[in-house]
Amino acid sequence: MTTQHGIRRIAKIAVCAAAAVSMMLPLAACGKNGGQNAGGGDSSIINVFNGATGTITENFNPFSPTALQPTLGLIYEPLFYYNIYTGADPKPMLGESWEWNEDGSQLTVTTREGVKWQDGEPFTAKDVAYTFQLIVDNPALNTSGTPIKSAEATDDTHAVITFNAPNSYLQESQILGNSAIVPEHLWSKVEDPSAYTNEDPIGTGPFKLDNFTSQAYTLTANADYWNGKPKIEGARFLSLNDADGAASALIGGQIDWMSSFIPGLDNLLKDNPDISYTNTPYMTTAIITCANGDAGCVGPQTDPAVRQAMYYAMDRTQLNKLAADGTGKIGSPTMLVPDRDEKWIPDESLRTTPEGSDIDKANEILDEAGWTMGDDGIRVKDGERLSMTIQTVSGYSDYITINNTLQQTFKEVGIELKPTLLSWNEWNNNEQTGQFQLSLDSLGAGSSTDPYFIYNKFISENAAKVGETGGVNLSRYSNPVVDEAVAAAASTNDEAEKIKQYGIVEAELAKDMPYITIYLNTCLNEYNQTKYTGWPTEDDMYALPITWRAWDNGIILQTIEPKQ
Amino acid sequence: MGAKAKRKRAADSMIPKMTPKLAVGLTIVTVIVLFAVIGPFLLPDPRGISDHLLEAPSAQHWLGTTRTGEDVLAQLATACRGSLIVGVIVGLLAVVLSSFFGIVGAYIGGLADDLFSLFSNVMLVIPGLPLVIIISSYLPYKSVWLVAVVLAITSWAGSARVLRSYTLSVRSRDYVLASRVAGEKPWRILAVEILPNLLPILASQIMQAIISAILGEAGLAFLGLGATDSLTWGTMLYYAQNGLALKQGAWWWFIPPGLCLALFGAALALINFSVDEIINPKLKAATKSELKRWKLEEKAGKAKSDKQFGTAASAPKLGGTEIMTEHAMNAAVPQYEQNPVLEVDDFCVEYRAEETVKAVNHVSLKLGRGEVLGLAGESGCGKSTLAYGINRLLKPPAVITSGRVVFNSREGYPIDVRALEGKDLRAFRWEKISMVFQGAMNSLNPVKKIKDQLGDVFVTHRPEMDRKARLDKCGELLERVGVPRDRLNAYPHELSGGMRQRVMIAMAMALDPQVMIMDEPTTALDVVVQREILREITRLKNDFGFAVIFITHDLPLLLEISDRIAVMRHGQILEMNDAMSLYTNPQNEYTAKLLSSFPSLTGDRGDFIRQGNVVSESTEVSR
Amino acid sequence: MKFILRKLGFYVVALWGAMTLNFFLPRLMPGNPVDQLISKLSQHGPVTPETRHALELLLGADSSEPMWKQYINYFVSIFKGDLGVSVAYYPTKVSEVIGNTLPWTVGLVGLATIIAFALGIVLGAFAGWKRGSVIDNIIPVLTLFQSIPYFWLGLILLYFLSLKAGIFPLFGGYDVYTTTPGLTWEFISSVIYYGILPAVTIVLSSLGGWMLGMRNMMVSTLSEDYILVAEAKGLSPMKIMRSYAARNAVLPSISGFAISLGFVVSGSLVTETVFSYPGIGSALLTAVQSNDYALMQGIFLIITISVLGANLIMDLLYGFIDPRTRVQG
Repeated sequence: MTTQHGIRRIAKIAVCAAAAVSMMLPLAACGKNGGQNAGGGDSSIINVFNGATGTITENFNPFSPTALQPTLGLIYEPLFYYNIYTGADPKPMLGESWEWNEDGSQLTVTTREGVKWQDGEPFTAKDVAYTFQLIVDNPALNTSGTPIKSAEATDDTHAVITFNAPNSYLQESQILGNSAIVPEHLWSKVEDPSAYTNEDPIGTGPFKLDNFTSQAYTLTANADYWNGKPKIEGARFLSLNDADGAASALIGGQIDWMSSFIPGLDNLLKDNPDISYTNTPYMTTAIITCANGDAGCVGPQTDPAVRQAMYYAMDRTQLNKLAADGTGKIGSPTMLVPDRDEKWIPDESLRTTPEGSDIDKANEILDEAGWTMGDDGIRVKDGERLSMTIQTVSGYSDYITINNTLQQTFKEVGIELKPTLLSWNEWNNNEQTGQFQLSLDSLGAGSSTDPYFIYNKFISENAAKVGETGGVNLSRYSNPVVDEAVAAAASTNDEAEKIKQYGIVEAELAKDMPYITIYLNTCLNEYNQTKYTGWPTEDDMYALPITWRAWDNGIILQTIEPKQ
Repeated sequence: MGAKAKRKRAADSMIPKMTPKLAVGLTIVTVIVLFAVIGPFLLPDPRGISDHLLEAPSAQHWLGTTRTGEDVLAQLATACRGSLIVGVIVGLLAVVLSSFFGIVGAYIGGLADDLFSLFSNVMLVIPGLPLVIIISSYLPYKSVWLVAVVLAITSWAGSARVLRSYTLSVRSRDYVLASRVAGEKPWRILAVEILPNLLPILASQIMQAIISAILGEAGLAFLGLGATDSLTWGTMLYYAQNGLALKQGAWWWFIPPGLCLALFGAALALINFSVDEIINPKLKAATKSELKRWKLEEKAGKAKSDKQFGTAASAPKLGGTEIMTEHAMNAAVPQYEQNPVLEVDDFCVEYRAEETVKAVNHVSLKLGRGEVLGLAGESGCGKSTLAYGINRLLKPPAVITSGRVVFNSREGYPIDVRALEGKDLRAFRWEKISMVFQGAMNSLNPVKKIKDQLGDVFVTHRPEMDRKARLDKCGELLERVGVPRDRLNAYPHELSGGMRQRVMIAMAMALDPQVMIMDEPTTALDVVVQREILREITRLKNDFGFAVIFITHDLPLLLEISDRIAVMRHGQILEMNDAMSLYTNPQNEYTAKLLSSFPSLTGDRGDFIRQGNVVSESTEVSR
Repeated sequence: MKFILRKLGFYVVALWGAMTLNFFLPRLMPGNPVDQLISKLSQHGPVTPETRHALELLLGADSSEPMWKQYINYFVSIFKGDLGVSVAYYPTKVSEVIGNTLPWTVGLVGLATIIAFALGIVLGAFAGWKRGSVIDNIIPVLTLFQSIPYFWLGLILLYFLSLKAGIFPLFGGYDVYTTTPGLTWEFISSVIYYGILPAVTIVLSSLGGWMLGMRNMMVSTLSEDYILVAEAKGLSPMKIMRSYAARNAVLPSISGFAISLGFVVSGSLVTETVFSYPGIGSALLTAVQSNDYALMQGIFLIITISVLGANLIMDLLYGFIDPRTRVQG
């Protein structure tokens, strides 16, 4: 399933391409307080805006989908940290190593010794086993749908997780990198863990809760953290209503770290040497087409030639400039991220998309496919006009710009594009049920960089008929070759074999184009470089500096240091 | 005068007078509407992206460009169109809805009215925008039209309430009642008799609906819940705000839509000022320069009169130059004029309407101590104007163009009433001359208790009195006019008409004035009460010895109670004589006609009057 | 007494109407909370049918119950004070979310409304009393302000006074950096300081309406007989203006409070967004976007009840200042 834009606040600019569920957020920082001298100049507490809007309600339950973001990463930690941006090897956190059994049905994790819960109790493998058993016992907590059968600790440093089926290798990243470990001695007393708001959270993380109000809350550094006390004293998380407010607060020095797309950022920052930013595009913005006529899709986009023509006709340089201030990066027709996933794309020609517009090629493809130019400048085939609607969410201004730009470009090759703006609910509902022709969306990251988390969107098994919901295959694409290759890749732990299988998938996708790649969407992270050092750089992206990303924010905040 | 003529007159009064406000309002609205209609044809494609990103205004792009290189001016023109469409649809829809629930309900009356008005009131108290937000989030795809319909559905209730109350008042007007009695069809009455009268209200409501719709749409759009794929002022602002236009210094993108909106709204408001003046003529005000000119005229007139009669200080205490109008007959009865408490000479009042009306035309009279002077004449003859003029109560556009008023106080000094200003004038009023007005219903402040209204005379004129003394005095006054003391704590609406008039008389006597002007004090009362009041007045006059100017169109009544009677017509006193002489021997043709127009004074009515219970000493006069 | 009963009766009906509306509207909306949450979750990784099942268990999204039963349950739970659990802020109770936000909105809108009302009445009274005076002449200017969208004015004020001049804070309801909520002077003064700019926006935008209404009523009232009587009585102009003219002219403004209050509340929802004010407006928007039925219902209900309450108070107050209504009922 595609990553959604969650609740990108209405009237707001995209927070880092997709994602950012406004209510979930991470990270920290210090700040100076505008008008009054207040907590200001002191850089011990970093002030973070992680997309929280309006009132903040207290929820530090790591199993809750609406938990405050710092719950994951700052207070509670996973076994390993997966860097989704670089695709680097998992970094040991509460775990030290892991091992699969022969048939891939059991995962044994060796846990770190000497880690203490924030209340002073020791952390052991029993807590790990308890955590996963808790998910098994309470299906409501298993929001990621992990197929675990049972979990048990064999001793204080070893936990064994048993899955429902063999070859469960793909569960690895979810178990190791996307599950917060909770203390058995406290959670065993919780009556209903799914409705628990955990107002006094005790984790193993680098920060613990200090105080909470509905407008801001503060975490302070955990002096007994296993990896050493963080250099900053704490982090304050604030609520702002929109990107405009955030931009003001950033310029006004009241926010030290945030991740919001701010149009004209360079221009705004030209007199402000304190603030710097990194751009970390990692999600592919693409046109999702309802591709499969057999599944009930209707419209010219069911013709692969039309999809190909759109792919070549669009001017990605212009789109990037107009919609993303030129901060988007070139994507790949394989939906993977060109640099990071180089090894997964054996065919070099499929690594990147074209940049400019190739009108001739688009015309040629359409001519060949039998679409002839009509009197009104729109092509026709068998009486059907080459006219399609493209849906996006009203309020996603960058997407709206993309649609309007595409509309003008496509006219040159005889394609009529009709943008429609819908409420998020309706837009999402249409995607789920297949009631659309084209839809502009972004593909997010899975729990690891394994292409499976992208390519499972293209297998028949995950496709519902138009009018039905249930699958993550939104374009209803169906191709036995792809089905077979994805299944083969999923059931092996052998990288070479995976690469081979994914290569097959990629070739098919590039031919059929159920999704038409536009670019890697911009993801700007603004931070105060005068008060803090140690931020990730383009060369050393040790974690994604995105304030609302779980886990990454914990790594960032325990790494950065106040400048003296 | 038939219903038609009335309607015609009503129609005339519905064309607003051109004022600067109206002119400015109309100009702005015209410009914006023209811009919306013509602009999009002349300007480039508002959606046409270009490489000129966020450029400041230039010869090529008069209002600069947006973040994606669209021409702001072109967008503005299309946005004007979008917003106006929203406004007009909502305006019309809201008026249709509110007319249905307001006018029809009020016209039918009964249960329908109750239900309609309950429904409107419920809709009214449900806050609009939250409702719109929820409804509009229900709509998967929002066009301007849909947004407009949603706004209309949530915004008509206020208008319905206003229309209902106006319809109720129009419905009970005589010509509407006449049509109903004549059996005209309800829809016809509604369309022909009622609707035209509601036109100004409807116009005003439409304009308010339009502006609140445009504002509402802008608010929705700003929250991202509007018709984001259409161009309106709201969506322009939304995109400008999303592009951080203001922070980027791109004022040319952010300011114009908001300014257009504000200007358009303000223009409609200015037009509405004029419409309001049609609905409520009281709102029409004289211009400053007119007021100034009139004031100067009054001053000049006074100076001239002063020269003619000498100032008050030198005013003769006894007698004086007697200048009667040319028609004034038969001189005065010396008995009353020898020691007049009030002398009015050459008094002129003009109303400066579209054409000047001489309401009081060179009137002179003297009022003797303790005398009852009747002032008779048909409606509009200027008798009330004269009375108010004497007490300096006239307001623009009435202008006293000449004349002198001297009050000879019983303490023995003359007061030039026209020379009094401010504090002195206020001290003079009520202390020397008090008044009882026509229509006791409206003479009392509905929200203050009787004791407070009586009491504030003392608070003002007798500040040394303490609370208790005041209360005692007020009670005593009430009893004097035959109203129980416990009524002091009543509110005016708790008293009957007769009681109220008694209260007014009590009030008029509070300071033991030397002159009491009574302007049709009994007109609105039924005959029995009328008699009681008259008897009361006569009794009190005899007890306390004040002079009375008694104004009425009811000549027979005057004959009963007056010492002398002056007959006025067209602002002039035609004849002034003692009551008996005037009755038995009218000198003026008009007086005779007036007398004969009443039923025989000795006939049934007269009998009733006298037998009605009262035997007053004044009966003698009319016998 | 009859008057009060009648009034109360009306408000009960209005409340029932609002509640019924409130019940049906959210149910007509497309999408459902489970889909919404699944979408949110998808950024964490693949979402399977098991996940959906878990969420349905979690949210109790059982739509098989007939509508009338839901309707009855709805009223029963509301009268128990139970507004349900918020989806967007799961598992926080709706009443808690509202409890956190409502005081801010009530404080801001309440104060701004009182200020605008009082100021408008006083200025309008003077304007009507002295036609053509300076005050009378600024009315057209104020109506210009009234036509300015709240958010536009707010953004401009925010840009110049806060971002450029640094006189006022940029966002929030109080200084979150140095103060903690509580009954301390520090906190209260901070709240006042942070509330000035949003309040000024509301006051500027709504003042004109009050003022014009009062002025026009004042002019009408001035031609009433009792004003003439008061003048003939020799009362001082100030006294006539206060206890005769203004006292009567203010009545329609009070009975028309409903219309204006609804407008101000609506405007403040937008204003809150501009100033990142922690009121109920942003919670409403969040609810709408999350398909958070319970929260939306709760907020709409609470806003409506607040407006109804304010109007009820005004109506009862009206009974006191206009003695006629008390008797006639």
